[in-house]
Amino acid sequence: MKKYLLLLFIILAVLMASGCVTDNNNATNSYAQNNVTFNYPGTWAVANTTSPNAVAAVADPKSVISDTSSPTTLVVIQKAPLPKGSDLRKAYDDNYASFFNNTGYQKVSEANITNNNLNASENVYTSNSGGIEKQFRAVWLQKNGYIYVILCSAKKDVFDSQQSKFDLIISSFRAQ
Amino acid sequence: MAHIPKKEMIDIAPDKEKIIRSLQELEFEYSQKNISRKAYLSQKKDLNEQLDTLDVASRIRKLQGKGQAEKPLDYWTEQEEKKKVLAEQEELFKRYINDPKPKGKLASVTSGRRKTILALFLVVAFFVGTGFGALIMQGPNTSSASLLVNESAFPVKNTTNTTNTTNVTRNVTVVKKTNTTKVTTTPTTPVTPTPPTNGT
Repeated sequence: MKKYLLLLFIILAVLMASGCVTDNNNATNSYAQNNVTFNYPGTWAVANTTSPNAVAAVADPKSVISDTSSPTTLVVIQKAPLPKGSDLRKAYDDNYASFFNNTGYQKVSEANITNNNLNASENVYTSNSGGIEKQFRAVWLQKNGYIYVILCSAKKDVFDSQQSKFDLIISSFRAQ
Repeated sequence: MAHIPKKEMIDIAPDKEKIIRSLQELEFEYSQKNISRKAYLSQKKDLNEQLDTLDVASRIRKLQGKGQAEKPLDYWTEQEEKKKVLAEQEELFKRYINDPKPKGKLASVTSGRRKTILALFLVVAFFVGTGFGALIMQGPNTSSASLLVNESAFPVKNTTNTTNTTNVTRNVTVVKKTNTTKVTTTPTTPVTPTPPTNGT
């Protein structure tokens, strides 16, 4: 009986020790460059960006459009100095004053939120470019005289399912 | 049918083998000259008569359907004792006497084989589990160089051209050096012509 118990224990130990199967969907990576830090999903990767004033960009490699290197599910963080005499709300309003005028973007919603004890403004809008419908979520923050815009984007049909990943990045975002 | 006296019937009871043994002993004693010829002949006659009586009794039993003569109680007692002794010996053998070396060797070989098989199984299970886990686990993140993002939260004036152009202004200070030479002119006092002198 003891031998069988020992054998069972050894088998269990081997099974537990070998090939630890981890669910990478819950794993996160950390980004820390250009004076900003945030966590992003473990299945995502850091991306190169040509966005103006961008300080960071991460994307889901699985969302890359075939024959291109452009992912559709992405988050890009842009940083711009706060104009003198202006504040976050004014900068936000100025930005979107003509943003939706003949640009192909359609506004969905906007809201004032709080992120890590910082007042923030959120704007959600859609676009249809090249036959691909995308939805965007832009979160505007102000820190140390700079405006940070966390722009989350995904195809419209999967945008809702990506919210948890966007929330991960937004809630963990810190600017130094 | 011969009439067998009662006393002789009791004498029939002794085993035929005993009678034969007695005859043999008698022959031996006589050969050793331990007994006289007269005694020898007398005892031999008695023993032979007993043998004859036994044979007759045996025949009579056969005729009566009784089969062979019943064996004496001593015989059965001896048989029982022999059986008991044999049974005890077998029990002792089973209990205390293990099989010699060949069985021990077999046990050790079997145990060694089992350990080898178990070790092999563990190794195979380890690699199978590791391989399975590696297969299920997702690979490393895609190289960042393969992902390009160009979305922007800021409006782009030219919707078709989304490339970012940066104007670089360079302030160039031109220092103009002028060599100035200061020319100072001192007014010259007019030279009053000297009046001509009359020569006298």
